[in-house]
Amino acid sequence: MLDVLRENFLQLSSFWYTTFFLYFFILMAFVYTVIFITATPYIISRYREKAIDDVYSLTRSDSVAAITFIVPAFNECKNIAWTVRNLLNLSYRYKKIIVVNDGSTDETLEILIKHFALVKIPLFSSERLQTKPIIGYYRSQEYADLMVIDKVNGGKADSLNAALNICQTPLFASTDADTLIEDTCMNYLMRPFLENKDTLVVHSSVGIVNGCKLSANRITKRAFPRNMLAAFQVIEYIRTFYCDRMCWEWSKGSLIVAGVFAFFKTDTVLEVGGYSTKSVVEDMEVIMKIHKKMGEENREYHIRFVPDIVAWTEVPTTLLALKKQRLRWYTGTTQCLYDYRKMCFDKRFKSIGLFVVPFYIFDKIIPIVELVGYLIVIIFGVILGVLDLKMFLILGLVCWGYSTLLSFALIIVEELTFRKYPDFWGTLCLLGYALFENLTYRFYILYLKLRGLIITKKAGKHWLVTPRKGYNVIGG
Amino acid sequence: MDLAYIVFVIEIVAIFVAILSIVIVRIIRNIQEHRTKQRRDALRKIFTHALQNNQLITPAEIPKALNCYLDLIVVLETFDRLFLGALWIQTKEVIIDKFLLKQAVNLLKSSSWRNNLLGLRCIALDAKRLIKTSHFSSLNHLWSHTSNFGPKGGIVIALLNHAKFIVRQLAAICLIRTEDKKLIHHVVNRMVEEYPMAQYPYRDQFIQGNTTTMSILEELAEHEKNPKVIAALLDILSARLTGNLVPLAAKYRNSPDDNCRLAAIKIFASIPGEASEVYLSEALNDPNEINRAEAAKGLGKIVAVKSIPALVLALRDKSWALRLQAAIALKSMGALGKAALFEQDQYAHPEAYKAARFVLSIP
Repeated sequence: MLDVLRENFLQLSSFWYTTFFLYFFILMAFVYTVIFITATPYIISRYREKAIDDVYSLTRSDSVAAITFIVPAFNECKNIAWTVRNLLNLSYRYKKIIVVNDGSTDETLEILIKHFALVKIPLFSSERLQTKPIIGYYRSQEYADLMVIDKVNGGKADSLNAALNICQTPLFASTDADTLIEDTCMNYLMRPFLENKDTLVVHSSVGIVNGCKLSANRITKRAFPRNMLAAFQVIEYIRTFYCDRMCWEWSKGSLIVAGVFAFFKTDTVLEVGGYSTKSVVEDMEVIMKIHKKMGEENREYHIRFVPDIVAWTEVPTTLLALKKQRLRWYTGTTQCLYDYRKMCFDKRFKSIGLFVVPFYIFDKIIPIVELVGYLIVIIFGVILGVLDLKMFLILGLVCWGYSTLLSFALIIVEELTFRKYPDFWGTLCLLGYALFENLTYRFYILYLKLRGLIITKKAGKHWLVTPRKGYNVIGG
Repeated sequence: MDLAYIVFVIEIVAIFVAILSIVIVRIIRNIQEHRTKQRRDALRKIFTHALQNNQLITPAEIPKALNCYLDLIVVLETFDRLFLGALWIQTKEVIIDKFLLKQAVNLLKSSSWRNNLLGLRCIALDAKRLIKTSHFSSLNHLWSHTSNFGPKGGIVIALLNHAKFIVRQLAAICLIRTEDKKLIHHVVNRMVEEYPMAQYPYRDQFIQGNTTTMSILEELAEHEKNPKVIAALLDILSARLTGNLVPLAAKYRNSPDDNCRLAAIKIFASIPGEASEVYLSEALNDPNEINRAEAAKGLGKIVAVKSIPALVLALRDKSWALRLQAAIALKSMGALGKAALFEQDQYAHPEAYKAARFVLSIP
């Protein structure tokens, strides 16, 4: 009798589990399909606009707003000279560059002093934001627009705040010390500010520089990365930028802005109190603050995304480096979403509260459901032998098929529009890696996302030290 | 279960279709890009050959295969940036009249912003001639150049109010290039309605204008009543040294509008002289701190040595920006200015001392 009851219970549970996961998959597929359909017209529209727009009108202009490029650096001796030269060589006329040496323990400062003829000048700032003590300011004797701040280690957010204290331009760009910026970027990222006075932040797609050929601080040939991990990240970046970021253009904007390169209105960031030193994802945290403040005060604003690749960055090529990077991202975003959880379904924040924040929370739940699914298959299917394993296998294959199809659809959009990799080999590699991504790489990312849901005290670590090959090695 | 199998099979088929689509798209795009490059290279070769041999291009030299609107526009724009001479101007006229104008007018009439932009790119190449040549009667509706034209008085003027910024920008450039007073006035009025950061293409085009355009702007500034427009006009004029603008700027130095006063200060800062020195020294007491800082900067630009005492006082101003600019201005005034900086007392006026030391250390 008990055996019969137990059998019935297990079979009933099996039915409900299967139904639950089936409906959850349908919901997930629906959400991501809507996101893809929403994002694609914006990408195509932007591409068509770019084809007939005068790219150089801004770079040639005498009247545009000045921009400060802020480069926080911690132990970046390999890339810092390249990055600063890249910025100095940008043809945008009115620019300032502030490099913040955040207590580096290597020769970052010495390299800067040597390469750019820096001299120390007295401390002079408006001290609008609190930061760790400044050791010294340096000015270049050869490049009037270059300034270096040497300070006590305080993290990226603290470095950005220190630079904001002396920033006098209406716009600033936060950029990482290993980011290469394309010369045409000014036009693409400046346009949204010119088109709409309510634009507060503009961010863009980021390309992966691994595998590309570089010369004189410029990418001379785009090539698909040879490293498998970097290759998987190419697919991931395409999906993230073309879907997750682009789809929110109809609303006030995304919650996440790529920290490697984005333009901000200086007044806006100062108004919200600068970057928070308590968050490891200071870029997301400042965006959340902007959303919150503007929503509470019922002010018109927009955070715009431009799908063009404006900046190129080096991605981790080892599992350990990837783990460090992603744990920081996922833990940080979890922390941020938790801190601003009250915005969820709050009508005051309009589309942000009603759609964007709930989506990101939903995105955090998906790995949990997926993990539960795997555990159920193992316990009930393999161990207890109650589950219809074939059903779950088919469901798994359907999920794989959908994810792969979505990746392929994005590759089609990429081929029709911006085409990161002009050669045929690049496209073939994209297809190949997209096919196998869901069978290999995504399981590691799933594990990292699940780890990222646990907010620990260690989440407050300031800098992510990722091993870098440096730009004189990448691309050979 | 069967449904899941069917869905899976559909997905597999869709994946194969997607792979095929990607390959086809890639091939088609490659072919298109290659052909576009070939056409544009061929056009460049024709133009280069003609210009090098001092020959005017005849329409017959451009075969039908190369007669593509966008290709011609792109190549003309490239050469327009490089050549100014009479031969190039004639060449441009021939190409535009024969191959582009009719299509440009149709594109301007289109409801698509993309077509409007393409049409404007053609007009921008030769805006001044198009308005003046009377036999283009079909184009009169482009300008409706009568005394009572309003926002809808012409296609290009209408495009000045287009929803898309890049269309408005190019429409403004076309109208400015006409060197027509009424049209320029219209553009300036439109310009001040734009968000300040978005005014840059208007400003750029005005600054690049010739003496005729500058004279028109001076004339407009003399009689204008709207303070926003006055400020914009003075701001543009301050970027170019056009005649004696000091009397014009002096008229607005006490304007109630902050931007007017700022623009006047910038004009004084461009024209060295006693009058400028006096006006800029007065402007050090402007109620707006940005204007005060700009006045200090201006005194440094014109090396107004007589204003050193006023600048020393400005070092003690509560505005950080003014203290910095005053210190920079003093440094630019040679030994006298530097002496004034060295004299700053760390204990009597610590902020002034800080600014002075900072500026003295800057290379």
